[in-house]
Amino acid sequence: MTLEEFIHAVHFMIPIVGIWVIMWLWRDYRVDALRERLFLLRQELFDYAASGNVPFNDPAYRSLRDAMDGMIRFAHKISFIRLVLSVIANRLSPSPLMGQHFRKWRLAVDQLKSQAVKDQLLEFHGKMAVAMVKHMVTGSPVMLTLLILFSMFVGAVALIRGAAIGTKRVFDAFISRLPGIELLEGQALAK
Amino acid sequence: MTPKSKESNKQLELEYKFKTKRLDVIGSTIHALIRWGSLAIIAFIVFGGLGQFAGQYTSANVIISLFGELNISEALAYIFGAGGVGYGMQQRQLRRKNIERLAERPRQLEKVIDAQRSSSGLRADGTTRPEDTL
Repeated sequence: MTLEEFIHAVHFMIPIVGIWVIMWLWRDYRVDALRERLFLLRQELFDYAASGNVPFNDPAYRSLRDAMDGMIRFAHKISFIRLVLSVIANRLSPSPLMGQHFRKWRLAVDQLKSQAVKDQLLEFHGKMAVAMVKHMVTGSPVMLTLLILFSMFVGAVALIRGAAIGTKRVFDAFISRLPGIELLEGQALAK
Repeated sequence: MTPKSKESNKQLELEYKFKTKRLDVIGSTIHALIRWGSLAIIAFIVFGGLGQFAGQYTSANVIISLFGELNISEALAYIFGAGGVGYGMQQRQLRRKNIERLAERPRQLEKVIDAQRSSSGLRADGTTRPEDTL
């Protein structure tokens, strides 16, 4: 390599190092953005309880708030790699405690008297799952590809059946078929 | 609940915590490998190329050539890029200071309404606790 070729190589490398720096700053930004979405959701949940819809000491409220706290605290660990590892670990060596938090929470929600409150708490939980999956999709080219392929498949099926389908419904269907979301939730609470 | 089943529940809980911690370590290792491995490859290429000039050129020669080859548009692009990153980092610092300043009051007010109010466990400026990083 001549000196001139080397200089050209360095000039090529400087933007690559710059992209490397931005990639990692971007990752930190995404974690902060996820935390912000979860803080807002937790605030909404608090306001909902403060309005007298559900008591602060109700297990359905407490447990959901704990899950949100756990997700906010460990947002930096939520990734597609972590999701895959969790699913593999659960297949290889399942623990009865995996998913237990979600089951307990569902039981507490089912014991609530008002159907409107049940629906609202389930919606808060659903929004938390959406925030997590959005975070994973925007941080993983593999997961983004999976979502695109899934959307194309769902779109094609809808076209054949002559039915209209919105982006929100496609995303909800994607989340419902994604294994391991409740595993991540349980892990955040196990700390 | 009998003392025996209590003991077995405790054992299950510990095992579960251990499994979760193990996933933390594996996940963090994979992320660190991607992060620092890519930087190591870049460093290897740059310093590997630099090694070929040992004894042929002085460091001053190489540095002068590096800057000498720069044209104005490239230099401006570098300043623009570095300026953008610096601006973003300053804004982030400012946002964290704001969080520290503004988050305490709602926390206190919420505590008045809900005495059992739980916390996210983040630091006052909204960043991850050092003990949670692994």
